[in-house]
Amino acid sequence: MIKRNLLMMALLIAVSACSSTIESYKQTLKIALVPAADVEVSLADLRERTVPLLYLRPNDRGRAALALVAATEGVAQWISADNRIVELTHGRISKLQGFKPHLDFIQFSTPDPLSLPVAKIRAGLTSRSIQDWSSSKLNSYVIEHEVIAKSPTTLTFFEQQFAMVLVQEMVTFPDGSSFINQFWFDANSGQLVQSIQKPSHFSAQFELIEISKIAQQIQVITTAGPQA
Amino acid sequence: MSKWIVLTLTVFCLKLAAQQPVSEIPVLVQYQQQWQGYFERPRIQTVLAQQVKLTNVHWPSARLYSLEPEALADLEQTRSQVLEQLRLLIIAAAKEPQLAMQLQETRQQIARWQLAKPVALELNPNLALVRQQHNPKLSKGQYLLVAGKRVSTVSVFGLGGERFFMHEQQRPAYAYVQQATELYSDTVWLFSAQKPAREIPVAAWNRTETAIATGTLLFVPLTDALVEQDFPELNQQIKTLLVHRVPS
Repeated sequence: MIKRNLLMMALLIAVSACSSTIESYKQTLKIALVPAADVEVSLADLRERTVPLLYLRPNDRGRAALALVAATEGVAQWISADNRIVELTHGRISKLQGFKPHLDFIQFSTPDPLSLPVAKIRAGLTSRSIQDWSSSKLNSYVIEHEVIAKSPTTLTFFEQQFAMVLVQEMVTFPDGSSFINQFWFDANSGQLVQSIQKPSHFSAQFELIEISKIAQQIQVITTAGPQA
Repeated sequence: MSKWIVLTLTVFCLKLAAQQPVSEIPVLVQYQQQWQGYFERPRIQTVLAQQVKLTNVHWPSARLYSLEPEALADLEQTRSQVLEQLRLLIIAAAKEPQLAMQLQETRQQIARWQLAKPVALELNPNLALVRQQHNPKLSKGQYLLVAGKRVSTVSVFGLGGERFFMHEQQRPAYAYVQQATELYSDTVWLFSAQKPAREIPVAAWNRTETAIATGTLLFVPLTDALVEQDFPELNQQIKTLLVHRVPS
């Protein structure tokens, strides 16, 4: 038992000593950041970038581009040039850092409908989430979620039309107000590519576009050639 | 190709680890019963990224503790003094069985607490990523990292031990104290992860409507009638222990 523990410790020490630091990664990341105002990145530019980009527009303000910092099992962290961080879990905003107040935590009592494959998301699905914001009075902030519609539609990016599945979800906040979140999934890949969502009754509504995913999709179509 | 590089580096590091006695490793961090050693003082972001693989960690309640033997020895001495004072109070309360039982429960719970010295640092991987002041290098030493699931309760500790109540949005501290019906005090001590302890008013004449965070612990001091004459330092010593209590 003691031998096993010592071996485990040695292995952990080895991994620790060999790991690269986040600092060196951030240096690489800085190259990928773009100014946070009315950003429009060309298709060619997107294809050249090694770090994926996300468009973010709070309310009706200018659109910013955020770069991907990390992505693991449905969770993706995006950073803006002015060091704001948006964390998405299955495409839903799960953390906001650099916004006041900060969104620190979200947890669903039943699985988030967005964690399901798009084919399994259907109208009538309900769930409840609990959020903790940085202000104590906004701890245990409970939101009711209900998928109210799912329909085919199209979106246009880079002058190309994409078949989409639009999922509409009504969220009801503790103050009694509600909002319709909208999520657009690519009909072919099933990936979430665009959304409009409002995390709480007091926060902005955010438009999010996973523009690098779209550029990748165009690349796939171009590579595959024209359909017969 | 990259697999070979990783393998070579791992073998090299294993050799290094084998040559380095554990006592000479500058920084050791314990997380969920496992130790991880660092040859160079790591930044906190590196520690968090390597130790915590779970995606649903409730970072507002996460904490880092120092396990330095000197600090622990002082704490254990304080605990011994608290336990002895409570023992004497139990003997003095022999004619009041209910009070004696409540004191006994308080004493038993304090005896079970794990104690360590909290490091004054807000643990937030996202902040650590973007702000250098939230990503300091750890000093040499041994640490305990506590980071886990969200606690959905508020607890009230006082005579009779700890009671737990579901946290509700915007519910003020005094409402939880009222719920622990047999406890009364003009003020209580509020302990919240990553923030200094503070005294807040909770009596009908002085209370405020300030909401508290989930996972908060409220300490209702033992009454003056019980401790003021013989053990005037007891409440302050229990407060010291609560500052250093590692959540179980």
